[in-house]
Amino acid sequence: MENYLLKMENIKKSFPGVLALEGVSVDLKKGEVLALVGENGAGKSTLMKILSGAYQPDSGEIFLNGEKIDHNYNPGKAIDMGISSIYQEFNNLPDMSVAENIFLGEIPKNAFRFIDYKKLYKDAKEIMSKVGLNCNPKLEAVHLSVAERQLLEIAKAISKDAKIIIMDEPTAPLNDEETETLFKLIKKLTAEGKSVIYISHRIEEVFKVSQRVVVLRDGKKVAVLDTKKTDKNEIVRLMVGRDIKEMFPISKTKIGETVLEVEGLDNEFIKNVSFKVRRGEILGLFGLMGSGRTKIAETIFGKEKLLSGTIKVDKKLRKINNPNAAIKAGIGYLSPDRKQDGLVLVHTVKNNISLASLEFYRMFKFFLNLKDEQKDVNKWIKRMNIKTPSINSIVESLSGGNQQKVVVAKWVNTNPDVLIMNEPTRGIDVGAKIEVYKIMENLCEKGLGIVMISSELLEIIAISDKILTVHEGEITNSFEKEDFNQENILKSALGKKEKYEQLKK
Amino acid sequence: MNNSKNNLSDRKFAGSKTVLGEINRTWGTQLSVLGAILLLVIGFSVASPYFFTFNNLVNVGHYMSIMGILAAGCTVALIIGALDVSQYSNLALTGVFCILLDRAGVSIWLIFIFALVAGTFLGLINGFIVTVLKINPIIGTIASGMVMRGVTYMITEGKALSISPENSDVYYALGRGTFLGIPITILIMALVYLVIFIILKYTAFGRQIYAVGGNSDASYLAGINIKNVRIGALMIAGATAGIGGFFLLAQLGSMQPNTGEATLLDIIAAVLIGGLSLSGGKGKLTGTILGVITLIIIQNGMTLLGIQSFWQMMVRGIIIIIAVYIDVLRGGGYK
Repeated sequence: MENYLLKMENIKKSFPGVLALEGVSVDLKKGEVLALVGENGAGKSTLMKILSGAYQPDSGEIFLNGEKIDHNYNPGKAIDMGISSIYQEFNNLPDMSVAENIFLGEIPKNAFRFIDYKKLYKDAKEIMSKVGLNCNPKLEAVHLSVAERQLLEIAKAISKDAKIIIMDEPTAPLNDEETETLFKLIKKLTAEGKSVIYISHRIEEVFKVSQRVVVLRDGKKVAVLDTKKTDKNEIVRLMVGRDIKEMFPISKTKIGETVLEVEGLDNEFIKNVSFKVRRGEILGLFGLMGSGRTKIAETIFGKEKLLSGTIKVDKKLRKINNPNAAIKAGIGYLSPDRKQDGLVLVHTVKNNISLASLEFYRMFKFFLNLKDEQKDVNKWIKRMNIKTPSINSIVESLSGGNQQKVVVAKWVNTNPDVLIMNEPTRGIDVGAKIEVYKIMENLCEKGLGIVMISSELLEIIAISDKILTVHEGEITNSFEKEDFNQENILKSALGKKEKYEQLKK
Repeated sequence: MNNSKNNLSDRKFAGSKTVLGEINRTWGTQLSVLGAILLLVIGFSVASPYFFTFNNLVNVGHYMSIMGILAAGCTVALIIGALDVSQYSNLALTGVFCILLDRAGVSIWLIFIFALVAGTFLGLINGFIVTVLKINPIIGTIASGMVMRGVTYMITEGKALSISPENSDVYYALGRGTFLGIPITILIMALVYLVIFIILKYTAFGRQIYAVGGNSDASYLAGINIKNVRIGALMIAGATAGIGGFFLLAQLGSMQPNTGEATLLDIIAAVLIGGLSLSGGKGKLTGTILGVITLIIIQNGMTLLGIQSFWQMMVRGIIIIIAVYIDVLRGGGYK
């Protein structure tokens, strides 16, 4: 028992509509790297937010060094106890210097209680050299590269004398070389007796850094594995919880004429993007966070300004300068974050489903044909198997999967020719995922063209008919179904693009 | 396999399924406010013999109608998440212009139409400030309200203006008259509520007002012109201020340049009591009217009981804090 630095026991947490954690227990040894894997929505982040004090668990206990952590635990206390987290989104203050960022909250002061800048910069330099951040400590954080900001986050953690460092997808914004540097740093930290909880989507990394792997699925711990004694297939199978075939029940539909054709799309975020989508086809866009994959979608949908390039729907040239024009042209766009901009959470299922198609229900110019609206809404609830007590239930009270189906219904109700689906299965349980895939299959059969953006490589490979990789706003490669290969797709997404030019011909 | 999938979805399903829960969610606020009103009426009736008399009720009705009209517009603005605090300045300015037109010999009906148009136009200016200049609505309407108030003081030179004496009977007939025992201004208020109710419930524009208030990003992606919707909502708030200005003038026969300066927050308190959220997207007109009634009863009751106006001011302040705190409890808090 004394062996363990940290023990989380039987942690439970629920949010409105979702049971996020159903009694998860995790332990961590001193000097260990523990990997935490699971699909989106499996409960990884929730568990780590409980550990870092951001959320209060509904029940369960946390022991640090064998001592129970009391109930009014918060992020400040967590840091005091030596638990630091590095999130995917950085928390540094861009307009303050690197040194100030590192010592935020405990800036060294002199005898008169003023800031001791000399000591501040000296101490900062020391910690920066430890993590390999080589820049002037007076530099403002905004000037750092993404990788340097990641190192800054780690420097912050070390400055607080962290015993446990939680890293949530730390390599998402890093390239290969930077990732290697990070791994070396992790080795160094653990050699000094610090422990790391490492969350990643990339299973390969788990094998490079961790000693043990905890697999979460649907809010439950399904396995704790010794990294040396397991393999990638086993982990993936445990994460998904079923065979790949069951998971992605997409059968091939007939592919028809080109329905969307974009050529030379160019703006602040994307460069010379061209591709075609045919009726019945699912085109996958794969890229890392910040690669521009979302910007491509938003440009086609008229949310971002198009500087040059053309968009053709059904062979007709369309001028799209706002979402309304896109909808009229027959394009729908399912945004990646349904809470942010997909749903009006406080409104009813009915009002959400008809939101993008109110124009269809106008009568006498101003009024709404509520009868027709209700009929259509009921139709989608039935067809998509949306589980809701009534069409007037508040969307917020539905489960994530049903909320997502409401968003899909909203777009299908606009009667689109092309549907761009950005992370259509993010944060929903496995059962709902399968249902969403089936809906997509259905739409293809009806002759829609679908563009799917996903950060789950496994999903995009299983679902797409064709995959384009995106890096820094450009399409770097194109893969036909028979050439799908995880390694190559990932590599292309990281920016190796020589092959694309050949393929284009 | 099919079975396990369904179980999964059922387990994660958490909606209010009971009829009672549904009633509570939809009408909970209204019912509790209604309860409060009943208690207040009973309490004041016991404490003051004059409270529950026909004369007092007509009196209360006159006073309530103006505030009620403005509150209806304020409701629309708050649903899109834009608090309009310039309404009373709009009312005073519009009212003063009405007096100038009356003195120039313009007929009362044309003046009514002018008030409606002028109020709406001032709302349009608010809409411009909020959407084109992208200024926070509270700051923007405080500032535009100051400008309107300044213009009002300038025109009136700080003194009250009255309509020309030969017309005063016509105005009084409208402002203080009753129809079947009901004050005409209350009927006007009812008409305003009916029109706005229809807009909110049965028109595409109404649906868009709720949507933009509930989530403007999602509304934009759904193809809604959110700027136009916001401008439209603030124009409705302005229109009600214009109508209110006209009928207040009809009640008083004159207009003080500082009209409404002290009661600015009363409307906001009323709509918050009625269940609107400062964060937008929610709210019903029934709640607003109940909130208005509550506030008016408290004020009238206190006056009848001879409570000093300074005390009343304190009580109003406390009521506003309570009303906003209720909004916080509902999850609309300042974070």
